[in-house]
Amino acid sequence: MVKVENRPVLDSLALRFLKVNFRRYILAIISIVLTTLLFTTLFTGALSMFLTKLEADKKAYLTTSHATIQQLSQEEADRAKNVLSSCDFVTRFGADQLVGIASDSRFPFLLEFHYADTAAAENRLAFPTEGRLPEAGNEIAVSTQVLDALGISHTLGNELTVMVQHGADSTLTEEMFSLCGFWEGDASDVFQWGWVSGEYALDTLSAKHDFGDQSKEDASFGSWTFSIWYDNVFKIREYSQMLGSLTGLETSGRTGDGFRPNPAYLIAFDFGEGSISLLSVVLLALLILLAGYLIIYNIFNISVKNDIRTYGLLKNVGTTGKQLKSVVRRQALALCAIGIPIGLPYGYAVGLALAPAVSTTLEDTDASFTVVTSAHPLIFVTAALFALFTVYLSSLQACRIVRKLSPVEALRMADADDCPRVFGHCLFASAWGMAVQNIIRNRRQGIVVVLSVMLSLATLYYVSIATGNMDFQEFAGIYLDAGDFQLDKLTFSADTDYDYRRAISPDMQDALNSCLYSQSTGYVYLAEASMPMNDHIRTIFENITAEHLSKWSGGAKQTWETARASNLLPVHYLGITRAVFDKLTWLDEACSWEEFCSGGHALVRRPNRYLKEGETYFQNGESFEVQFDDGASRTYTMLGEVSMPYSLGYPYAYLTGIEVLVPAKEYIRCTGDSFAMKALIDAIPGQEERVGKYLDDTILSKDSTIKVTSVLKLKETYDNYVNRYYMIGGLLSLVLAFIGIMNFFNTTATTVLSRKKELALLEATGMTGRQLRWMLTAEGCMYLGCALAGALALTFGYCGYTFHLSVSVLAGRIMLPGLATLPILLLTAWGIPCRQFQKMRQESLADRLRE
Amino acid sequence: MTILETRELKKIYGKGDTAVHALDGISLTVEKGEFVAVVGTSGSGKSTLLHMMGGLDVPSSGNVTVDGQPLEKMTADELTIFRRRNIGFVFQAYNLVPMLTVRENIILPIRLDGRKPQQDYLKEIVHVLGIDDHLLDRLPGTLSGGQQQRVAIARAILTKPAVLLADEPTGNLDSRTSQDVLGLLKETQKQFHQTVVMITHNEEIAQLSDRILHLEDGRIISGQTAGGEHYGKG
Repeated sequence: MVKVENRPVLDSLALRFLKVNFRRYILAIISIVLTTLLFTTLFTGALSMFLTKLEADKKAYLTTSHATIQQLSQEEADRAKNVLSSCDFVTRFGADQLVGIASDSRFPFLLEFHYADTAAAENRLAFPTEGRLPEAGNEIAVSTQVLDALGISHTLGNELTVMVQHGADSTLTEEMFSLCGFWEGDASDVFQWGWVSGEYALDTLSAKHDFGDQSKEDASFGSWTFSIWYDNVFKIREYSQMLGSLTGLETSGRTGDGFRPNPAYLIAFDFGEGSISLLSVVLLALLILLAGYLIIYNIFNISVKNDIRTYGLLKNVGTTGKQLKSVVRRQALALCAIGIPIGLPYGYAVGLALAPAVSTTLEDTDASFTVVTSAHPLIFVTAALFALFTVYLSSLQACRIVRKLSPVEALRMADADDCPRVFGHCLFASAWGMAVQNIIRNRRQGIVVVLSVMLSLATLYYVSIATGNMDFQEFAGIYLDAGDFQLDKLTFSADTDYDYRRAISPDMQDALNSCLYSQSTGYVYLAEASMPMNDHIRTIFENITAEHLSKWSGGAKQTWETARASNLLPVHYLGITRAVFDKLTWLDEACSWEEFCSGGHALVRRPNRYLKEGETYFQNGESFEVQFDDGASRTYTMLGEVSMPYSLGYPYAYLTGIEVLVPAKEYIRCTGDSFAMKALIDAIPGQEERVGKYLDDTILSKDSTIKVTSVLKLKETYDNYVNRYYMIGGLLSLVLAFIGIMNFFNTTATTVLSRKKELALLEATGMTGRQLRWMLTAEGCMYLGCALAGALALTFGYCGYTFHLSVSVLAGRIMLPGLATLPILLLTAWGIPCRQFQKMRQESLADRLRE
Repeated sequence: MTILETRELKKIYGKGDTAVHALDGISLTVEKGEFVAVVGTSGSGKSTLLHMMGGLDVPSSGNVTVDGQPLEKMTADELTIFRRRNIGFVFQAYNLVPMLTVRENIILPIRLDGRKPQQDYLKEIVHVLGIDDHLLDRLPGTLSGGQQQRVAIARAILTKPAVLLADEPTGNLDSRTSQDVLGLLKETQKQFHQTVVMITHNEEIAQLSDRILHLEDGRIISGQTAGGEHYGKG
């Protein structure tokens, strides 16, 4: 067969079809716009969630590079530098050297002094935005947090005087620096960086250390950290291993495992583990595709069927099936060319507007996270491709119809009247019967309409059930398991000057106790102590350490070695007040507060993870001795084993030690320290906001390092999270509902118009306008009734299975949206067919009969 | 020279007792340049015969050869291409594409074939058929029935088809316009040496042709040349 160049005529035909059917195709264009909008919104939102999570994790892990290696000796650093400089897949790398650590009670954070290059500073999210990195002498660049803590104004050239430790020997030297650069710091960052010059680093370190001996305890001073960026983020793990092999540093670095991929990237690409679930994006994309497909499919089918005579004519004059298919396809492409460019920017705008809501997760309890959005071309390309694919799928059936059209069939269609098939007299005799008959006749379109509306209703019901299934108390129990308000200090490390154990001063305790709106206020005090190990305890800890110690860092190993050698087991000596005592969970028989305070009694907190079933440290009534740092000791009788709310205890995992609880008064008497580690407040019901304000006024205004976890903030976070569901679900339902109603409108309009003569005949034979309207409304009710029934069946089936809820609970949850949508459904079922009928009746009966 | 030939052409609808023999073994030949009229009552099978001859429908048995090409060996698309190059159709309902202008309708088969119409020939056809120039850019819906049928004839003959098949071309026209259209068909035959096969139920109209074939119950019951020679039974 000779291939001929007939593109122009096919283009021209497609254009003519578009012009003729433009009014009908407006619906198709709106549908394509909406489909594109939804896809763009979805991808913008998903990318925003992804990037927000990635950036938050980068911030949490204090590194923005793809991989790092820390604590390299000078020789290792030289080796790493040589390899990194010559590696093709390394696009950039930076290096910094630890020079010292600040020691100053004014800092509620850890301030480390490093010599760093630009890439290294950027890796730590600490590149000066004012001024520059130090170049010579005693220049320094720090964050505004450091300047604020020191009470120094944000002006270049200002002098900073800080006590600095340059080695593990704890010797402090007073250093004076000149400010050459600073950047906006973040109060929530527990690590702060002070960049110093290479000259200062060399002078200071060469005076202090001999780097040849890495066995020294202070090996980290003077050590190098490298931050590396690769040319492909999907190969971070692979490249890091390659670098390990190339440099021979596989077992070097702080953790002894060479180049470490940035965990933020590993989490980000581990879909499902991070805040973004690939599955939910795919499911949403499928839902949008289905919704778009249902209406565009219907429009194309109706359009092609209405124009079937013309397609037949074209076939008769020599247009091949392939050419006809191409004409339909070109129409689809032309509609996409209009709809997609409109949908993309609007979808992006909606995506941007929704980004803060969709990026909120339940973990973001401090709500200080930054929403990251992107206008990456891939969003638009992907959304456009998805929209194109949807239209392509939707036009397949229409293409098939015209391709398979036989010329004779086309001629017959052109001449034949639309003769309804009769399904029995009883049906035909009433308005409902005729409605049923017509629905059966148009069952294919009907199914599409029903599915389309059903999708919207099911989405709305699902959102209602899913949000109803969320429980604030359950959520609050995770983050606020002790009281309405929990107070402690911003913590970062267990071994810095800044003592998290001494967070709530006696003055603060007085202030908290004076709060008129609180029902109860409690405190937890913590001091380090030790106890001589008897055989039983020693055996238990031999077993625990044998099983678990290999997974712990060197610090825990060192602690255990010391304990074993001295036979003194570390003890967390916890003092608790009555309010905290009331929050304890007893693992056997409970005792009273009075008995607990009667003297010489102590409780032991059970570490669920490490003790075997049935194993205990002490039997009730058994005595044990606690030794304090000052050499004094105290003997206690074991009163019971308890577990305490996670948020009130020691905030880190504790492997080699026992936690002993005594009354607060006993604690203060033995330690002489009345600073509490944590405080809890239960507000008088309904007075939460007043307590919150009281804390703001009396505590936070005076000490910004106090961290308050409040039921109010949690409720706000929770509400934001729930609102996210409502917003996304509501918006999705709304768009799907719009698509469904458009589909209903399109189908109804077409069936009314295609039955113009039939309806005129009925009218001529005596059916009143009212009866005809009733018949059409009955059809509409049946379509929407089926959609409602389908949506209920789908929702009940799916949600019943997923959430394990009974039918009555499910019914209760969808009562409100169900009642809200019912009038809309009825109005749609009545309004649209009646409007179409009214339009049709503008022509005289005679004219309609003649057609 | 035989331009169109059918052999034992049968078309049966349905099966068994309910089978309807629309065509029951029709064999005929049409010579190049001949004007043949097929006359029959409603349901005699004349339209079915035209559809078979034009490759619009597939016979149950028998074969059709147009310009030496057997149609039964062609695929659907091959048949469509063959049709647009070798067969012109004129239908009772004109069957013009409503969204295309008159000019576009006329040149459509040529353009679908990836060719450009010969402008001189187009002008000549338009002139012979009496289509005013100002009508060329109008849509078919704005023309009278007679004008539409002229356009349909123009479209049918622009490709210089081997045979022009006309199905009740005057069925929708008043008697005066019918005479005009028939005159044009006759003129077309003469001027362009065009073979024409016309279906009609009107004996009077058929008299314009060179030969008349009578069809009844799917069979040719008589045939004669315009000069009065008998063909078939009779």
